[in-house]
Amino acid sequence: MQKKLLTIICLLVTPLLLLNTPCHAIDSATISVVFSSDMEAYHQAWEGLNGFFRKNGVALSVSTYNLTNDDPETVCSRVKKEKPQLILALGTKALRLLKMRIQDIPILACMVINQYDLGQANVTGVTMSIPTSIKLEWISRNIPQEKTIGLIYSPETAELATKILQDCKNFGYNIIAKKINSGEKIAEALQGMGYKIDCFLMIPDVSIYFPRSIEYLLMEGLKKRFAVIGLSSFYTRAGAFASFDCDYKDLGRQTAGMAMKIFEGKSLNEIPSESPYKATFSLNLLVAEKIGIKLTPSTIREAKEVFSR
Amino acid sequence: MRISIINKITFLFILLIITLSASMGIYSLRYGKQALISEFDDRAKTLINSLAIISESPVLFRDTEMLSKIGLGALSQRDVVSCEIRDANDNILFRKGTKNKGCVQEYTAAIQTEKIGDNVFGEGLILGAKERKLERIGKIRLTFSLDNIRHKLKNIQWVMVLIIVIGIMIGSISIALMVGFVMGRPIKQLIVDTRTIAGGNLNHVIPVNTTDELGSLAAAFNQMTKDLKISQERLVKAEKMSAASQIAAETAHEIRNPLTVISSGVYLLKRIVHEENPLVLKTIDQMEGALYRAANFLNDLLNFSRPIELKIGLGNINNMINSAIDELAESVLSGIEVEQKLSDNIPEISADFGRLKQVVLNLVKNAAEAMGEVKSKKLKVESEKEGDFVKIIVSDTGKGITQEQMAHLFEPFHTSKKNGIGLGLSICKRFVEAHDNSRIEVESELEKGTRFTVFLSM
Repeated sequence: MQKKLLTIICLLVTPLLLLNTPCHAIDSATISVVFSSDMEAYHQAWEGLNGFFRKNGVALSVSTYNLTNDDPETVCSRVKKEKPQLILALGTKALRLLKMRIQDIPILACMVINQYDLGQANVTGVTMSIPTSIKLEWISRNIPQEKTIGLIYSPETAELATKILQDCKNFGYNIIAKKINSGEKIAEALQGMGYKIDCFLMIPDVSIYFPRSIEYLLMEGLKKRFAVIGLSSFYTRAGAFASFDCDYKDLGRQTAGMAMKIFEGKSLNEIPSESPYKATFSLNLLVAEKIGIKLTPSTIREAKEVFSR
Repeated sequence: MRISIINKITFLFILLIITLSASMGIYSLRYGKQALISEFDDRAKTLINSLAIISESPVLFRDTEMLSKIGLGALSQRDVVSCEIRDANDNILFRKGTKNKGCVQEYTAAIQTEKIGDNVFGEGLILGAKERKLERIGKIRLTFSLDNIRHKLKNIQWVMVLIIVIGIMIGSISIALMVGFVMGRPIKQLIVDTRTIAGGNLNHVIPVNTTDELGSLAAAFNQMTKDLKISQERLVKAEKMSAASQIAAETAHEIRNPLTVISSGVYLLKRIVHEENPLVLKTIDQMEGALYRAANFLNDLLNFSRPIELKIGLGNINNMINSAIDELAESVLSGIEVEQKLSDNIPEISADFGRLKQVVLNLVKNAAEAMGEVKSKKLKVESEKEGDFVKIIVSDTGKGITQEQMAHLFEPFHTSKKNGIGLGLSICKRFVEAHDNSRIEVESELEKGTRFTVFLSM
């Protein structure tokens, strides 16, 4: 298992500290859990969090809601009525609903992508956005010949794009970034980049990426021989060169650590939002071959998923 | 104008064939037209939908080169006369061909692309959320010429008409021939046969060759002719009898009185003529004989013509038979071996013994005459009791009766004898049948003899 998992960086020593926190200080807690949808990943995260509390002997009194079936208004009013010690929002949809309606109960977010969604006094959590620095470090280590990175973003992801630009500069990469308003312009944007880029970083922007635009991007990558770094292993399977993923149970456990702090009475101001501790990656060897990237056997071994013939 | 039944049936069948063929033709034509239009429609829809799908990326990413290829490819398809591709803002991305070329039909399809659903956020892209929405990004319009399909329809129409006409002709001829052969011939034959019968030939028999209605009709005709013939014969016989009775009655009446006078004269003459003149005596005897035969003849005529009024009395059959045999012993039965076998256990019965005696006399005379030319002349008279009947049997060893004679044996004035008038057996039958439940039967074998049996009810 360790072979497949790549521990890129430990940003903080917090996890160790968390594990060593005297959990026995509390033995029960009330929590309301709101799922954005029925996606398996949300359930995995919840399983990780719940398992953490079971392991530490904390009995959770849980009320669960799912926005796939439950009416958002009803969910909010019930949660308000229950007044739990903590609300766990799984996914952006649940988080955006809860933070808009509830300001007097701590909200802990998990499985959200944007850092700015966590920007409210009663909200903190763990994003699933793997830091660009991790990705760039991996790129520089495994495909050092890549020098110019392409990026397309929309006004919605401008903030994230700025951060990526900064990170690229820090790592000494050239970057060609284009801002577009919709996915239809991706062709035009990629045309402008032409054969100048060696690598393309996808960002989670729903206004740019949809099936056809993703397909177009992947095809262009093959055609113009640049390595597309996708958003998850789905993209690698579809034709991206590589993608970074995080383990959703780990995310749940990481979120549980923050929840524990809240139960212990720490102020939310003292608990900043976090990025995933761990990241894994997947590789598409067919694409690598097609675009002329040679990977070392150790890199291939480290990959969690490898797609080949 | 007279139209024969065969022609009427044939006409009806032909009318039926025409109606059926025309209905089937119209139905087939409609079905064919619908199928053709449906096929055309399916092809057009399949083509335009396929084009809409393959145009998605080129429209989305403004790949005019690809759109041009798609458009030209569409125009190369059969019946496509124009192709137009527009984006979501109705800007023309490709247009070629002409719409004003005869009769046309337009088909339009939306070009759509799948977008991520409104409820999917950034993490949905990472997690592979399935929620999608379809967004219209343009449309494609194809114009199809209907000339080709019209031409095809016209061809189908002509072929169908031709098939129907040929079908009607062949069907009509076949039906005409079949009706003529199956029905016409037997009907014509039936007409000829019935005309023959209507012409008076009641002996004509219509051949019954089939078991169908015509066969039944022929059989019914034959039966009718047979019945008619029997009725006619009976009628003739009845008329003959009536006329004969009338003549007999009048003749007997007119002759009887003179005969009585002559008979009285002969009787007186015989008494006054001297016995020494044998020639005169002989002549008188001959006259008496002639008078006797004439009286007998008159009696027969009267018996035949008068209505029968039985004089019923109680008596013994055997006595009556003996009396009759005795009466004929010398005159009729000379040279004939007579055997009498009369049963002792016959009770006395009620009957008209005078008439019955006349019956026995007639039967014995008849038997004697039948044995006129045979060598062995044996007459046997029997009586016996059988159930409710008393039987009188008179049998001879004569020449017998032919089948033809047997059929008319009891008919009046029917005789095979040279001197007879054919009333004897007829009178016998009348007298016997005048008694309740009584009858007379005859059995005969050629060259062996004849046997008459009288059944008298007790």
